[in-house]
Amino acid sequence: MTDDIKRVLLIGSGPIIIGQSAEFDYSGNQAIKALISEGKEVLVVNSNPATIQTDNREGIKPFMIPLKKENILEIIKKERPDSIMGTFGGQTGLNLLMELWKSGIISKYGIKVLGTPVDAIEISEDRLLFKKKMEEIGEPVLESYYCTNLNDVIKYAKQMGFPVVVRPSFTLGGSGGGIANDIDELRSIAERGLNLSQVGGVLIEKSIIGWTELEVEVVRDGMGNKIAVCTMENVDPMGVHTGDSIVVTPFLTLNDENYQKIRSAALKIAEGIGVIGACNVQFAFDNNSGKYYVIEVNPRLSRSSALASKATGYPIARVAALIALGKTIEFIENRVTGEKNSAREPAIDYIVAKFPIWPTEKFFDADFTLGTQMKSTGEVMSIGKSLSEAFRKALRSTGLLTKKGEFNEKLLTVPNPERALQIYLAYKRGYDTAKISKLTGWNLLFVDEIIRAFEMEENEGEVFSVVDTCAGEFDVKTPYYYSSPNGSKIMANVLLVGSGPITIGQGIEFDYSCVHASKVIRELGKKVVILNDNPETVSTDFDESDVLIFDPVDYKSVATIINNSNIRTIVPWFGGQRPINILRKLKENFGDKIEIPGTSVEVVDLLEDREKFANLMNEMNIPYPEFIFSTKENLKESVERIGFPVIVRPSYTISGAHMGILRNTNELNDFVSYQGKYIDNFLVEKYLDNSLEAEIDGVSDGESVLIPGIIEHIEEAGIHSGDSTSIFPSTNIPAHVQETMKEYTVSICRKLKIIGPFNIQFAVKNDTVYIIEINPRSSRTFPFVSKISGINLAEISAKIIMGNKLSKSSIKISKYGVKFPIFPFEKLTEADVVLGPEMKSTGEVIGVGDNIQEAIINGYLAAGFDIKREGVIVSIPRNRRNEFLGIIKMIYDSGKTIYSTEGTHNYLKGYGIPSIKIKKIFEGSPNGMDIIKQGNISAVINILNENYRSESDGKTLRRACYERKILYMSVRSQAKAFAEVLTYKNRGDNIKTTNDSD
Amino acid sequence: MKKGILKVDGLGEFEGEFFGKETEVSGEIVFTTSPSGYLKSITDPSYRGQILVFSFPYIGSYGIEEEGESKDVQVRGVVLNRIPSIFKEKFSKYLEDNGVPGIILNDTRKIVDFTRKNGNKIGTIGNARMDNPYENNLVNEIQVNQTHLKKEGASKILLVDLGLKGNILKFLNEYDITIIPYSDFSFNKIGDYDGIVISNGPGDPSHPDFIQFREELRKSMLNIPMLGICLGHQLIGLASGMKTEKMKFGHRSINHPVKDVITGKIGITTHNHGFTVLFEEGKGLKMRYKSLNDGSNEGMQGENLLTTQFHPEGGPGPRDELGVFDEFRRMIIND
Repeated sequence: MTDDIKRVLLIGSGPIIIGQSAEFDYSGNQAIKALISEGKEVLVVNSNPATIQTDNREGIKPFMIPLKKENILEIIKKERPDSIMGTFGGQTGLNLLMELWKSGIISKYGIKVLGTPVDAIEISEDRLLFKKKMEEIGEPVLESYYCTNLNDVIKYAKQMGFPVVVRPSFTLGGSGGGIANDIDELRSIAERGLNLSQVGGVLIEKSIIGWTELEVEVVRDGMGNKIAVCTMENVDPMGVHTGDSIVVTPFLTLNDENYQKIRSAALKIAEGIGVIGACNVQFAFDNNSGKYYVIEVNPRLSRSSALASKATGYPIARVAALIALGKTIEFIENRVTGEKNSAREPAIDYIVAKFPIWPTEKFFDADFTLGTQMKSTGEVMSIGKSLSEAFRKALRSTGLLTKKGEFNEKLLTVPNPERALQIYLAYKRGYDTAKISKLTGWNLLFVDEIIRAFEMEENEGEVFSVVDTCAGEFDVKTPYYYSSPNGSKIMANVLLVGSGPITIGQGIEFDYSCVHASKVIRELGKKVVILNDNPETVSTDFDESDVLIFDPVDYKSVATIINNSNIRTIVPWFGGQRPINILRKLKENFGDKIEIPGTSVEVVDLLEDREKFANLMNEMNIPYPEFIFSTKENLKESVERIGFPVIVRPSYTISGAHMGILRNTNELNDFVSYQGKYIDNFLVEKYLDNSLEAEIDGVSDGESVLIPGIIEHIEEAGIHSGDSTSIFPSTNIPAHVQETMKEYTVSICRKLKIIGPFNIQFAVKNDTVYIIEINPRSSRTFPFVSKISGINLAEISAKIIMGNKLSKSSIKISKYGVKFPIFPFEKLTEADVVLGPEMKSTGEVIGVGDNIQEAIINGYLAAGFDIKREGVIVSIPRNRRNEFLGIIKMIYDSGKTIYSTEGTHNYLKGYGIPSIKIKKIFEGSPNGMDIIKQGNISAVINILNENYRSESDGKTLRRACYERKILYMSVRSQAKAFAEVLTYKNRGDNIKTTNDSD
Repeated sequence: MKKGILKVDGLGEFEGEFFGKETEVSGEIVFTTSPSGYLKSITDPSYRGQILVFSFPYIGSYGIEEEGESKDVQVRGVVLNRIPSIFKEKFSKYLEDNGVPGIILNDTRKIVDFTRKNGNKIGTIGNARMDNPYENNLVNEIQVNQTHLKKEGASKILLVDLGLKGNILKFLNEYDITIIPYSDFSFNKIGDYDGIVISNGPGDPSHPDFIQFREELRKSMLNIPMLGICLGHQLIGLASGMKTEKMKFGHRSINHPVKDVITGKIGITTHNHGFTVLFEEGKGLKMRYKSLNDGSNEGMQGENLLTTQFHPEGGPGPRDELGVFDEFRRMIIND
């Protein structure tokens, strides 16, 4: 063991995006805990504020900086770490490690790379090196050829035999590939692929679509000892990204001969590459012939390693971190079982299923056909004694069990998010299981068991079985649990209901709050049970609670816990909306048998009922946007009563579909004739246009109220708060308005006897403060506000609900934070990137600074925007040009070149601002798209005519911007912030690009 | 659904669903944690005299298409938690054809927990009398297929079959092999061979039936390359003057780490043993492998001799320690 390691720099994974979810906070945090226990100091870099790993704790120095080489270099210079870990931050972390290595920074500063060495990482990441290595050690890889012309494509395809897969190199969003069954198909796919590829090349590969995809998690130490921690079989055959596949553990359809063949190959590959730590090896396997190919190796912690850890109870990240420090598995203690070594391969006595979760309801216009591009935002893990039991729980967790689906044979044959449901519907229609198996490519076993899962009767008499890594072979110290027909009861004091899978709107932020709440309640001497079904989380790490129960976050699970334990205290306030949704039913069924400490369930009900909420506001004399429920028939009359502009939406909105902001009678008529075809009942609400939106996150004990400050949104009201760029503390809202917000907040908290965490959303128009929404629970912005203010809202909330009172303390915030949303548009092709009242972002990054401009600059960088580029494209409708004149002048004066469409161009010219004239897209070239493609654009300001329909010009531009990481602004306040930042920079102020959080 | 009863001495009765052959049996209740290779397990002769409980609850997920470790089902009975519906009938028929009963019950974990705490107990399926299987020499139940597997020009191996697993033969297929029962083994015969393999098998190695065999082994040891696996390893231990003892609940799984104390390396291995050699220094052999779970002896070496308590051939299970067969080959070449 190397004692010269004292300060370790650990690279985090940044914002939650499709393909990189909360699993890296879990892995990174587990590694950090291991490093701290070995007496190391850890420097953590991560731009995602909603992470536990960026908390200030003893032995840890977090830096919430943009994950860019230059910024990390600053940290290295300042903090001089002696070693670095780049395998705990997903692909982002790995890429940064390699960048730092290649640029010589690592060797220049004498930093030791811990864990898997860089040359081994290179072998795994470079296609050709990988292929060579596999051939060298005798492991089969898929035949593939890189071609730059059609002749070669056809030549090699003939050589390999059809079908072949065509994969264009370097296209945006993975577009342009496909499977060709014959020469004609090949010709058309390859031509398109060669065209779309930015380097004019395609890879053609032998097709193994339909084969089984298998994964093995391997841990290997520096002495070459290695074990296969977990085997995973994908239910969806090859062709669907493993992140989008239903996966089961362990291998189920392989006999022992094949099982061992794959396991041995995985170990051999880890050995051949020289992994030191953890890796994930993926195979394509044909059960008929027993043949397999190695698909790829991830020489790092991964989504699969998080799943494997939770599925087996083996803490892979902890072991990998200790291996990286030089320990061998023989001398790493297994904290779950209490064994002195971590060398035994886990044994399980249950089946695990993982189901992905897709944001289908948020992106009604996106294509959710599943393929090689991952599209899910999160996943659930379920445990059962049989496959159907595990499937049943996953169906509960994903909502597929109760989803009303219509049978559609296409949805059966083509992979898509509701295929499990389609299988059941097909069966109900009389399709036999063998036929369904053939149509879906699912093994008959999986088809049969998913159908059984749908038909299974709910078992009311469930108790709890254990996850102990050894299937009962040894006595264990800290097992965790899942409900099953047999087992035992559990003993604890408090049930903390977790947040469930990561979806848009229900993100990692809630897991962050749960982890803190659990810690505080345990410190108060209570035994805490955490209920969660999300394997990607810190809260489901084995040491974050006294008892972990891995079951769906729903009413049935909570009822099972109450019925089979001595627990009477249920805490729902930290897991987001999901736990709140089951409160009423809990209260109805258990009444006084349970205690829900904090705000009363009646108040929760009141705040969710719009009529009651309105009565309360009226009673308290607090303004709120007026609204009416309306039928389709009297919609016009209702709109007239409220007065333009209005937001009209279906009274039970399930997506951003069918929603509109209407400003005049024409728009109203259009809306009625179009949307009236689909919707019968609407909610008509006053739209506070050109208003400012703000929020308060705080804690109340029913009397005193803790308010760290005001969160100000850069975007105007009308854009979902989760998608807004938020500034904390507010810089633009006048002090007296802020005071009004605080006064309202205090009086509401007192009036409603709010006890615990809360979030209140405001709109401000002409200095009038309106209340839009009150949430008596932990909010999405809790980590953001906590990190900037240094006041841990989740922890304080937990203390308050457990009976403590707030103590008076003065609040002094010495820095500024900006939270930028991160969107999944590059992964979800087809989806329009327009923002509105429906949330679309998957994650966030933070920018921190001593002043607001500095914070914004860091936020831009963290979000991947390069504002140093020279050009800015501007397009503003006639009636709004005056509002933008000053902004564009500031941008021009900062030295940017302005490109503008004809009307805007002429207008600017009239005010002495020169710009380069471009055409609208339908007018031909050169237009905005052409300029964007030239690559020197830092921002596009495209203000649309206020209209509920997204017009195509905007859609194309928006998409192009997101794909190229160009700042796209559609509202004035965004443009204003941008202009101010440029002006600030232009003044030559010394901008620091890094800021630690202490 | 036909009801079946499993009785476990000291724990009680469990009612479950009957499958396989309708018959009553008694045996030692043992459990394995292996999720794969269930057909290999139940056809492994080392399980003779035992009712095998699978702690992995979902047995039968790939059907019954798997090469067994012998041609018969060797366990006295099978206890498992769930069988996938699509294979249930086939599995039941397979056991029935092999004359072996099975019970499907929800409480397998309870039996595992009990066994871990209290050691292996006798149990019955149905109302059979509780018989201790170790009163008889279980190896005597093995039908040894006395054959000569010829291979021109290859080294000649004498294989003593105590309940040989098919997979061991696979890793010896480079040799000319003569298979004999232990009662036919004698020091006088070994001159005709280049090496000797003492196989795995069921039961108690200290059974008096083996006294003569151990004596022949003692004389032969160190004079000719010799490989002992499982029961073979235990008998060699006894032959060298060490003792064996019955373990509390044995090792039966495919995930056990053993450490090669000479190289320092760890391998994951298949185990199926209820007895263990109490290793002693000064008996002419060196400790070679030890269990990282409980520190028990997992193999020994001497001049021209290598033994493993674990199963390097897997079947079911990993083959991390196939080097054992390479070492045996080197012994033969160098001898």
